[in-house]
Amino acid sequence: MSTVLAIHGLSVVFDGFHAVQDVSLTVEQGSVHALIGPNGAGKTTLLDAVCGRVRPAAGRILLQGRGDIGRLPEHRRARLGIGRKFQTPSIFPGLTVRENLELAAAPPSLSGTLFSGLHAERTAAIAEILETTRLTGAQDLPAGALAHGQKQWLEIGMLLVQEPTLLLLDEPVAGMTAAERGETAALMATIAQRATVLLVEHDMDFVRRAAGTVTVLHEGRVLCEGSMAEVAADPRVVASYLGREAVRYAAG
Amino acid sequence: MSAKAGAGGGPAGLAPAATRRSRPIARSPLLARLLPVLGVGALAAAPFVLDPFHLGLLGQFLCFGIAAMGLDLLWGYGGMMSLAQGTFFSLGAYCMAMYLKLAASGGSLPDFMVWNGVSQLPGFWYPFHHFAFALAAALLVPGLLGGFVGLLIFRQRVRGVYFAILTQAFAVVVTTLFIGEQGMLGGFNGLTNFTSLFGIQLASTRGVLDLYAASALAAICAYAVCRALVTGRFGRLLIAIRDGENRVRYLGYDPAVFKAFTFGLACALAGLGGALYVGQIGIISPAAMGVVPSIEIVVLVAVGGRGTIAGAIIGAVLVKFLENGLNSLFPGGWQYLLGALFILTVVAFPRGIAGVAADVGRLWRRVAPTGAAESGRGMGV
Repeated sequence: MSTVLAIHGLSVVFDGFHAVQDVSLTVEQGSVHALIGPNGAGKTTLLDAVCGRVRPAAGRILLQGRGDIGRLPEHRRARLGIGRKFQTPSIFPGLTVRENLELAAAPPSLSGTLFSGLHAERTAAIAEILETTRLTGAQDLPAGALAHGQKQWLEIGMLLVQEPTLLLLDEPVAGMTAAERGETAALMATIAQRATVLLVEHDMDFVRRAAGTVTVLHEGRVLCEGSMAEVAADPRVVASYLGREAVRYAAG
Repeated sequence: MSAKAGAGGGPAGLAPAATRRSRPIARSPLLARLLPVLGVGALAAAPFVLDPFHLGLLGQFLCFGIAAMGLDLLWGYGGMMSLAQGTFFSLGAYCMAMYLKLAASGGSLPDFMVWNGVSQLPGFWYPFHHFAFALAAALLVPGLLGGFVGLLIFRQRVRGVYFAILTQAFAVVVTTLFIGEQGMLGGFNGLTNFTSLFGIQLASTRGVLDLYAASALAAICAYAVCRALVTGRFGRLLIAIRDGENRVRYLGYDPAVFKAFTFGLACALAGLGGALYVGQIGIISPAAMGVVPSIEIVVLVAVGGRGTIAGAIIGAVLVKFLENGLNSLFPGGWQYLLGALFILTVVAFPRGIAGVAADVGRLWRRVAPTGAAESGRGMGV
């Protein structure tokens, strides 16, 4: 297995507060890798550092075949195949579902936006993503009129249509109903065949079902790493975050 | 057709309302299709209906309409409110005025230069002996300056009200600069005393008609360009940047490039309007370039209806005629009425004339007898 993302000694500082301290992490190709930990552990900040939303104070972020991307602006990283899904659904409410996907699928340059139409294969890719995310029937509705879970799927679909190498998902099932969560877990299996996934999630049941590798963060540092069963058995993890409830989850 | 209407009233009934908010005209096929035809027809008929005086006024107001359409692209679609469009309008006007001034001076030095003791024509004036250069400059100077300034601003991720404040500061700076250039650009008095263009007296009936025709043609072209942009993927991207700039950025687009391009385009359109305007009004001075004339263009767009393009030019022509009429009734009071009109629009009709027209059209289709509704729909298809 090759490594898609390798983070070495990453630190992020906000006004003297060390949100992420000396974190090293590797994400293997084709894996679904989860970051868990209590609030303020630095999970979202870690995703932010990878996609360029925050500047690291120290450390390197190596993307497979591209070297250190820590200094590139956000849109350049997106073009390198890093897709970011935000915690609250971040879509364009005034555009239709299809128009949302078209903007994601189109070449992101000024000249491309002004002068070139969408290639037939891109249109086919949109149709396929509409099927995958179960939004075919809603494609002509304004995205703002979708249910919360559908908005989350649309945002994931916008990223998938870009054929990313690495997907960064921040709490993909937050605010979803139990049924939507189950469907999203199934969707995650489809996504894992297309892209490597690094996700942040508080829903341990979802993490157990979806993720192969779990990294536990605590106060900006890596506490431990392994499969969900392994980390759930670690007494430090139980003490700092999971508690008894999650041990029961992990045990099945 | 009826099946579609049924679906619209079903569980998805929320959907069309949400769309309408951003694109009122586009979703109303009857208006969308007839409006450009009616508009072009009205512009073509105007010379046969209006006396030269009012035709001249219409020609001038269309120039503001061109600038207003550019601002609508920028503000209505892109969410960037510029308080410097009057400045860019005037930059275009100055470019054309320099050509007209040289033409009026014959071979000699322009009069204001003589009065200010300038003995030789400054170097940057020379290319303005050529009409084509002046016209190109009227588009490119505001366009490139706006694009460049925009890139600097948007790269720093300055947005919203801070962008508006910066453009206002820019307007003040440029105005001050022009007032200071007494010998080079006429200072506070600006450039005036033009005579003719291509041998036709500007103030003659023929001159008024020709300049009206040029303004009408330019307005039609500007409308076509703006509509083509907003109905394509570019327009949807502008809306996307307005509603979720970060999402756009993380999809791989560089929003600063798109915003700067849009600002540059809006400034070029303002410059085109100014270039056509100056020959009709006969003077350009720093008084036309400051913050107040810039805010007036914002009011034209707001009253006409943001995010529709057509609303901007309709608003410009109607408000300007209203201004003209009221100004002769209450000299000096117009500024207050303009302010009142702006407040009334923002508070009571936030979607402007275009929004009210769309609402009236929808209401008509709902209450009208079936026959009228059917024929209305038929025309739309």
